[in-house]
Amino acid sequence: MKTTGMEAFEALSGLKKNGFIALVSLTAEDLSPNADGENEFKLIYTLYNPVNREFKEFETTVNDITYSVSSLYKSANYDEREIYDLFGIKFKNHPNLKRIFLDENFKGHPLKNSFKNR
Amino acid sequence: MKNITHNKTIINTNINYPSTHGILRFSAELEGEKIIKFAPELGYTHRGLEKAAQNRLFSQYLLMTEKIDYLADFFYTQAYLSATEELLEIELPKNAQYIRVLTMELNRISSHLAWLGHFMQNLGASVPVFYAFNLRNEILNIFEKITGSRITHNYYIFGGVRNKISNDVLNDILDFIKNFNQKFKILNGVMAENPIFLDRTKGIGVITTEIALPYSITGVNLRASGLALDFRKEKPYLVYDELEFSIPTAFEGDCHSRYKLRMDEIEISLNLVKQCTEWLLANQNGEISLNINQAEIKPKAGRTASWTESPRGLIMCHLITDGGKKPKRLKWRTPSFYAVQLLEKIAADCTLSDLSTLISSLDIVLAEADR
Amino acid sequence: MNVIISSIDKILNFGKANSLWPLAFGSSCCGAELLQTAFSGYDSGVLNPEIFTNSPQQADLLICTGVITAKAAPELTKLYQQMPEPKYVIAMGSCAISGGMFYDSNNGIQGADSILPVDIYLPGCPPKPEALIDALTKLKNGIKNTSPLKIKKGAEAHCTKQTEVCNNVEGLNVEYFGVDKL
Repeated sequence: MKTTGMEAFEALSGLKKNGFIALVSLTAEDLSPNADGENEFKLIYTLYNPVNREFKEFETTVNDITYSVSSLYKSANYDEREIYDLFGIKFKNHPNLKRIFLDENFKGHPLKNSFKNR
Repeated sequence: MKNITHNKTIINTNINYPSTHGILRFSAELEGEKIIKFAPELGYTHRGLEKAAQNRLFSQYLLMTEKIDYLADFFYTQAYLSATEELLEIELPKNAQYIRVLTMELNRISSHLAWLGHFMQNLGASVPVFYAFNLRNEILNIFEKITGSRITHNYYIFGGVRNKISNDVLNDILDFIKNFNQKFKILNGVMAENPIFLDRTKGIGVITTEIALPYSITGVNLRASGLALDFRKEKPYLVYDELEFSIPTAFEGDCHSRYKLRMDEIEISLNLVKQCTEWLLANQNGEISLNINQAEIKPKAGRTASWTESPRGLIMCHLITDGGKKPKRLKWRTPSFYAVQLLEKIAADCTLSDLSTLISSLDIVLAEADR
Repeated sequence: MNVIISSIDKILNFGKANSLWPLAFGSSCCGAELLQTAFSGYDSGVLNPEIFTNSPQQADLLICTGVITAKAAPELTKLYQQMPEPKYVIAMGSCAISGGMFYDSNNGIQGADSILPVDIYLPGCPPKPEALIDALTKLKNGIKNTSPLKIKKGAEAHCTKQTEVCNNVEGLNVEYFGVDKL
């Protein structure tokens, strides 16, 4: 299922109104190159509802740029910085998009399929 | 009288700041003694463990999972094995499951004792450190009798554990449990009613559930704010649904209630160790592991996640495979990563002299935050 | 004349060897074993040093434990340069000797002797407390056999290789360590 960033943001804010107020983890996977020859990534969000103790997963597919959900869930701030550092996906409306683990002068993104190993 | 104006100062630290396990660098903006902004910086122990998984066989990566958090290494091995054994579709023998729970609960006690010594030393008390580390040394000697090594053990394998625990060692564990209570009372009585200690920890660093849940905090830090969430009861794994234990909670959410909860958890874990040892003394005859060839492990293609409760919070291991000999993508969700993010918010209200107490009461290990 | 120098040497060496003040740099698993040696029943004060300082201006032994990354390397050299002479370095654990099991990571340095001059190499993953006490005993015997009045002062006495690296902090950037070169 291919969505733009805005549809994922609206789906997650609908889920937040239903009580899923905690984002437990956010993972990413590299599926490039896809049929058109572009970069394609899959993002997986895991959410938790403390009232009826329920866990839920939500998946989207993105290209290179998408919207950030850090205004809905505070813990997405560091998660999205880590994904930018290792995969190269950019998040719009993120307050502080910088590298978090590697040095500032490092060139390249290690977990991408097109990164050459040393 | 002249008006006294406060100028803002900015302090920077180098990498040997003394109150962390590992390297955490930060810069803070102060007005007088009060902190206004706090900016931590991670990445000084980033070893690339997620990228290394893509270049190694499944059994070669098993040795690297112990180094993620060196104080609680059995939990990370169990999290990795839960995910792969679910994709291999095998079920462990009962003996192996009881041995795994026994070693994990002993590891929980030794991790909390290391935290206790470190916490007391950051407050300035230099005597409880020796009591706590002496008790921890006895547990590490028991590990050496079972597995051969003190800290990084290499004892769990695909399908079970490496070798049996003999009856002599099980009787040694029962002796240790009998002598533990007396020494633990001395350790408790050294500081628990000291008025300076109570003054410096009550009311400092308050976390409520409205702050904790959006920052995705789990473990003792969340249970001290009132929500009883423990993944050994929420999503039970191994034999935890056959054992009896309770989940303590507190409601104030400050540093003192986190200290009290960890001391209660040591006693609950000791009871779990006793139940497992008595079952093993009565029923241990049978297989320890399914005899799988460790060099040729090929799980089926799919995606799974495992949930484990470690001394610091929830560990999740996301595993995506494509039927080959090496994993395609492996991601660790570690609890200390989110605790550092919460620290950035809470430290903005406290004074510089309370900063060490706050950092060490959240039980942060930087090697697992950086992976 | 030589008799006077050798007896002054003996007194100075006796004082230096028996009062080492370490600056413990513990970033990984070997740091946990260092704490365990210092604080539990291994006769601290007689066999191993007792005072672990946090400030480099009061220390004279740097125990390098754990993994050293390319991000932390410039800061570690700054710490080493702030220590006063004479100073010694122990590389503890296999990650500090040659990179260990993280030899192919993007953020790693293969061993502490790329950036610092090392006196004693201590293998193990992690080494047992008895092994650490053995390494400290060897260092003390080595100190008692040197002659401090005859050696040159300064970094030339200790840096056997890579003197430019020890004296030049700005020369260290991430690309030097082969991240983009290979």
